[in-house]
This record gives sequence, structure tokens and C-alpha cells, in this order.
Amino acid sequence: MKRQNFMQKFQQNGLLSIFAIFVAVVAVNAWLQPGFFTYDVFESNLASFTPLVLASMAQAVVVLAGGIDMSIGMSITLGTVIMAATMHDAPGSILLGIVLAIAATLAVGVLNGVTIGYLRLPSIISTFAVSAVCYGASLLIMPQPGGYVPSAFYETYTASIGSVLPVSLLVILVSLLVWGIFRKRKIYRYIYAVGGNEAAAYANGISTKKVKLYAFLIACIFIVLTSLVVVAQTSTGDANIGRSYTLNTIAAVVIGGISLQGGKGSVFGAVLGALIIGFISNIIFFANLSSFYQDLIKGLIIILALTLSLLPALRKKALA
Amino acid sequence: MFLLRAKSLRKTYGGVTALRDGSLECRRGKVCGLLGANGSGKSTFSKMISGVVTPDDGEIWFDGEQVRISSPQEAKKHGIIMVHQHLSLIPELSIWENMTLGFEPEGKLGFLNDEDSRKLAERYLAKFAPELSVYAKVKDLSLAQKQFVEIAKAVAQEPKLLILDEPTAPLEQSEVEKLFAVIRELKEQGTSVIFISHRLWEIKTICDYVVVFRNGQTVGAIDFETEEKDEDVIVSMISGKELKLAKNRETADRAPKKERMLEVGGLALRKSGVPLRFDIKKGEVVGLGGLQGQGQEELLLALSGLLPTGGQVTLEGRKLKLKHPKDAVRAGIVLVPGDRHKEGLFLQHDVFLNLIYPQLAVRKAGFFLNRKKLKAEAKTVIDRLNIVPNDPGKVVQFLSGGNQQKVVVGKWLPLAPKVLLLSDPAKGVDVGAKKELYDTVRELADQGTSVLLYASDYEELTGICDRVLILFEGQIVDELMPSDYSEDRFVAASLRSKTAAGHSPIDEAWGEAN
Repeated sequence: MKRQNFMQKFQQNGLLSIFAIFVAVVAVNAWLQPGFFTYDVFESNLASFTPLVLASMAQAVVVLAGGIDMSIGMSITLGTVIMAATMHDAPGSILLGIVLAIAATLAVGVLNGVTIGYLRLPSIISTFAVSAVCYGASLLIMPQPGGYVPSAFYETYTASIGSVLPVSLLVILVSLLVWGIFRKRKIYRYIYAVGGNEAAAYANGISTKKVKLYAFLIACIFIVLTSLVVVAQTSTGDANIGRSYTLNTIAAVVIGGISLQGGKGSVFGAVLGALIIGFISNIIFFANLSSFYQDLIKGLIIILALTLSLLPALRKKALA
Repeated sequence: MFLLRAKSLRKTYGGVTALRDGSLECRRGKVCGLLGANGSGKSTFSKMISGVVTPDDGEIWFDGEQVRISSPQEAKKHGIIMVHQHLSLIPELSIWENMTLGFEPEGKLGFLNDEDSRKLAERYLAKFAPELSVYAKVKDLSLAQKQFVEIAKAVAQEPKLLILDEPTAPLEQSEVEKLFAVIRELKEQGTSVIFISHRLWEIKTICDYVVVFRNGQTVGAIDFETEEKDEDVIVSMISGKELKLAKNRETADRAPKKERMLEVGGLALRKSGVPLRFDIKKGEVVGLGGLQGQGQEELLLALSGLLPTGGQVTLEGRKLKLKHPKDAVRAGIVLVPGDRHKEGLFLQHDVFLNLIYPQLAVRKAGFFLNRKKLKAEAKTVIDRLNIVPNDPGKVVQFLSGGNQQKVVVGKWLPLAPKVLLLSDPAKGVDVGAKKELYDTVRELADQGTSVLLYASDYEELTGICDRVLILFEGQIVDELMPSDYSEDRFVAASLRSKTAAGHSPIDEAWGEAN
């Protein structure tokens, strides 16, 4: 029996069609955006796409485990607000800001994981409630946009390593590597098992509660990274900064071929989905369309992606 | 000599005794057939051995010491693995991922060793289905292939005791033989097997001895190595010796009905099966009998338009197209579904609303509802069926099971149905309400409604039906008239044993082979 090669795997995961869409979107973007293939444009594009890519990886892990995280945006916000409120130029304060942000994000992850895994609340409602908690906490810390972010942050984020590897790309690569490590562990398979059929996973002796909690904790890693990148990008703290991320990550996950029922798709697909959304925003900008169209078009694309992802299931139903 | 010794296991669920006195001894390297009718307790018993259910009383000795098995994981540690009827596979994962799920081989630092997993999966899958690739996703497999993966997964864990709960249900003849080959191989390695099946020829082929359960008790055992494999003896053990005389009631002196109401032809419930063909006369009550899950419920669903299948259904000489429940309801075929909470009632709504929903859906109404008329109709139904309390405003959730069922039946009455389909209507209904329910059904039949009734209980069927069709694997294998009504006859027909009127080709083939 022969091993599956890379292309077969690619096809089986349904990544081929997503990759085709990705290529198409890049092509249109290249045509509209002047100097698309220059290093500067490449770098600035990536810098603006990176936060959504990281946040979508977080969403992907939760959705694969059969849940949904409506609190991602506000969890990112909370991290950025904490950092902007505690940091000064002193290295000690920077470290403190990052540690506090990590602690807060983990706390949100534990809250989500326990309410959903152990208390068995439906994730769409309970993470939404957690989202409100995060927003309230952010407003308490920073009622008005402000705070201080050391310039070193901004400078690091826009720098390049050896003038070929932008730091923003490095962050994405590191995140994929982190996920790659999880892929080699039991938890990876258990996430798919619980998302795919919770009762069957339980019957196989898997602790489904723990798996759900771990999924939210793994997501925390990517959420913290998103917070760091967002802080570096905006240089301020703002309790409304993360609002758009929740729905955009769900969109990216769906476009990336992950089933909202859970257990199907790949994190890499979510990365592609996030990049597709980024490029579409770019296209709308460079086509001189009003930014009002952006949400409208994005919405239509999500409906299209959802319909496509449901098609095989519908066809099967018709045959049965 | 004995691997497992279970003594006097008992289990009650809130006053209902599922198992009164279950005992069984498993010999090393032998296949034990576990037999019994539905509800005889063999399922509860095997769940206790595999840790899914904990017994209230009794002893389990395994491998020479007394054990308490409180979870499936603990059973696994002892080496007891059960293959459940309801598959425990994850559809989106590949075969090899499924086969090692929960006991993945690990390498350094707790990282997965997928290479080992795949090799393990390949080795055990090859015994059953060498043509399958372990990379295939489970969702793409047929039911039989899934069953193979499930069994291969259990065997891969090298159990000391393997419990197979009706493993052959989705398998074809040749596939069953493959399974038997693996079971024989396991026997040689010293593995004990408990084999549950309703097919007598399988029991006779593979088992070394059988243990029979009836009404929650172990009633006997037959050692095939020393005793004869006599089907009659097995059947009478399963059904109980005492021949209960059929309560013919007044069915016998009722004039035979002639006018055809419903004709069904060419309706295939299973892909490979022979299509069903039968008819129901006007005012006739026809029962659907046999073991559970032999297609009775599917047949009712098909006739009510919920499960579109091919085949011709003719009602009073008019051909029907049953593609949607509305087609059936408009033609006058109505269903009282098996799960009344899920499919038959709006639990949070009151009796009145529940009774009028079908009319809202089917009847042409004006722009405004005629509440007065609907109320009067609801009142008539409540009085006629004696729904207690007779308050249309009572929320259905708070009625007793029997009265809830009356509401499900009653909601159809104003539509004057021509054919009433009943799917195990007396499930969870007390004796008094059961009688009232069946009296109503009888009354409707006397007024010309045809009734097709599926009940899991033999006495319910014989108590009311003019004749009973016995289904086996989606096919009608026998037809019992009131003169045939006896429990022995019933069990024999259900098990499709040779004592039944219709010989099956399978039975004969195996009879010769032995």
C-alpha cells in the first residue's frame, strides 16, 4: 500500500479549490495594485493581512473541535488594551504588559473552555457572553482610546530579517510551526474526533470535555500573537479595535473550507481564507470602489462559500 | 477453564427491571452465543460486562478474580472489548486514524507515531477487507465496510474477551463468512467471544455453546459440543414453553373484509431486497411483526411520505405519489409516529393547538380561522378519546404518556383518515390507557378506517390485528392469521427458523453445509 503524496492530501482536504480562488484573487490584485511585485508592497500587504491570518487560526482550532468562538475579537481587544495601558519605554514594563496580556487571554480561554466543555453551554451563546465580559473589562481599563506603545514594537513589526523575510511573515510561519507541533500529538486527532462526532469520540474513551478546553487554550496562543501584532500595527489601545475580527475570522474559516459543524477542514485552509479576505479588501480599495462595498461583497462571498461547502452534503441527502 | 463468570447480575431502571438474574460463563477460546428476544436483557447484560452499565447486584469474575467494571476504559484494561451496534467511528477521519483512536501508538515525548498506527491498521484491516486503503475516509465506506473497520479496530486491541452485538446485521453472506474466519482465528489464539445474533444459522455455524435469556433471566444453555443443535429447542427456549392461547377476541367472527383500501407493490426497503407487496382491506387492522429494526418503521415512514422510496401505492384504486408527508396526509394516510415527543407533538403547546395543527396545514381555510368551529371539533375529539383532563388549554407536556398518545391519534380524527399508520403506539403507555387506545383504533377500523400497526410486543399485535405480517430484513417472510397466533409460532416466524412456514434459501444452504 503506497503512502499518500502531498497532492492527494491536498485534494482530499478540499484545499485545491480554495487554492484556485486564492490564485485568482492574487491575480486580480496584482493587476489593480501598482507595484504589486515589489518587495515594499509585498511587505506592507503582509503586514496588514497578518492579524486576521493569526486570529483565523485561533478560530479554526475552535471550529474544528465543533465549537465557535464569538469572543475572539474582544479577547484580542483586551490583550491590546492591557498592553497599551501598562507599557512604557522601560523593558520591564514591556515584559509586564506582555505577561499580563497573556494571562488575560488565557483566562478568557479557560472561561470559554470550562463553560463549553464542562458546563456544556452552547458555544455560540456562551462565547458571545464572554465577549461582552471582555469588552466591559477593556472599557474599564481604557474608556477612551489611548495608552502608549513603545516605538520599538512598531519598528520591529515593520522590519525585515536580512531584507528578505518580513517579520509579519515570520510570525505567520512561527504560528504554523506551532500548529505543526500540535499536529503530531494526540490532541490534534482528538480535536477532529470530537468535532466530527462527539458521541463516538466519547465511546472511544476520549475525554471530550478536556479536548474542548484544550482547543480553546491552543487558540489562546494565536490570539496572544494577534494582540501583539495589532498593538504593533496601531500603536494605541482602543476598546473597539478588535470588533471586526470575530466575524471576519468566521468568514475566513468558512472560505478556507472548514465545516462549521466541526471536524472537517484544515488550519492551513483558514490561513488561505484569511489571505483571500485580505486580498479582496485590497481589490475593493484599488478598484476605487467605496469601502461600503467591502462588507457587501464579503458577505456575498461568504454565502457563496457556505453554499459550496454544503453542496456535497445536500447531494448525498438527495441520493439517500 | 472459565475466562468470565457472571453470576446473578441485576439491573433496574427506576422501577423497571431490565435484568433480573443474568448469569453466564465464558470458556477460554470458545464462542458463546447469547440469545433472547428483544427486551430479554441480553443487551443490558453485555453492556454490564463491557462497563457501559453498572449492575445493581451480582458478581463478575474475570480471569480468576472478582472485578468491578465501572467504565468502558476499565473493561478495556481487563481486555474486554465490545463492538456496539451503533458504530463509534468518526466519519471525517481516515480508516487508520479511526482504528487507533483512543489508543494511538506514541513515540518520543508523546508525539504520535503515525507509521506504527498505519501498519497496525493495515495488518488488521487486511483480515476483513484487504481491498480497502487505510487512507480512505470512513464517511466514504458502505455500512458493511464500516462494520468491518469497527470489528477490526476491536480485534487490533487484542482483547481477551470480544463481545459482538449483532455484528452481522449489515453484512452479506460472503462477508459473514469472512467474519467467521476471523472469529475462528481468534479462537485459536485463545480469545473468547460472545456473539449476539438473531440469525439461528449463524449461531449454529459459529457458536460452541449458547446461553438463552428470557424476560431478564438466564433460562438455559445448550452445549453444541455435546448436545444436538436443535432449532426447535432453541426457539422454545427463547419464547418460553408455555403456549399462550391467542386472545382471538371477536376477530374470528368478524366477517372477512373484501373491499381493498390500500395496495402496496414493488416497494423495496433495502437495496438488495425483494420488493414488498401487500394490501389492506377496508376496515382491516393489519399488524407488522418480527424482530425490532427489520424494516417495520421504515415501511410506515415510506407510506407516510417521510421516507420516499420507489414502488406503487394505490389507495382506493387511485395511484399515489408519496414524496412528501403532505401527499400522504391529503390522500388520507396519517402516521402516529414512534417517538411522540419528537415527531408527534408540540410539547409546549396546549391540547387544543396540538389537535388543530393538521387542519391548519391541510384544510383550505379562510383568511381568518374559525376558532369557534375548531374549538368545537377539538372538544369532540377530547370527549371521544376520553383525554384526561378534558381541558383543551392543558399544556401537552403535563399529560400522562397515554393521554399524550391519544392527542397524537386524535389530531387526525377530524380529517377522517382512510389509513391509520401506528408505530409502536403503546410504548411507555400504561395498561389502562393502552386498552383505551386500542379500543379507539378498533372502533375506527369498524367505521371503515384501515389500520397498519407496528408493535414490538407480540400480545399487542395478536390482541387487535386481523392478521400479522412478519418482516425480516425488510421483507415480508410470513403472514399469520388469527388461527396461527401463538408465541412459539411468532418467535419461529420472526427468527425465520425452519419451523416457520417459509424456508429461506440461506437456511437451507447452511443446513446442507452442516
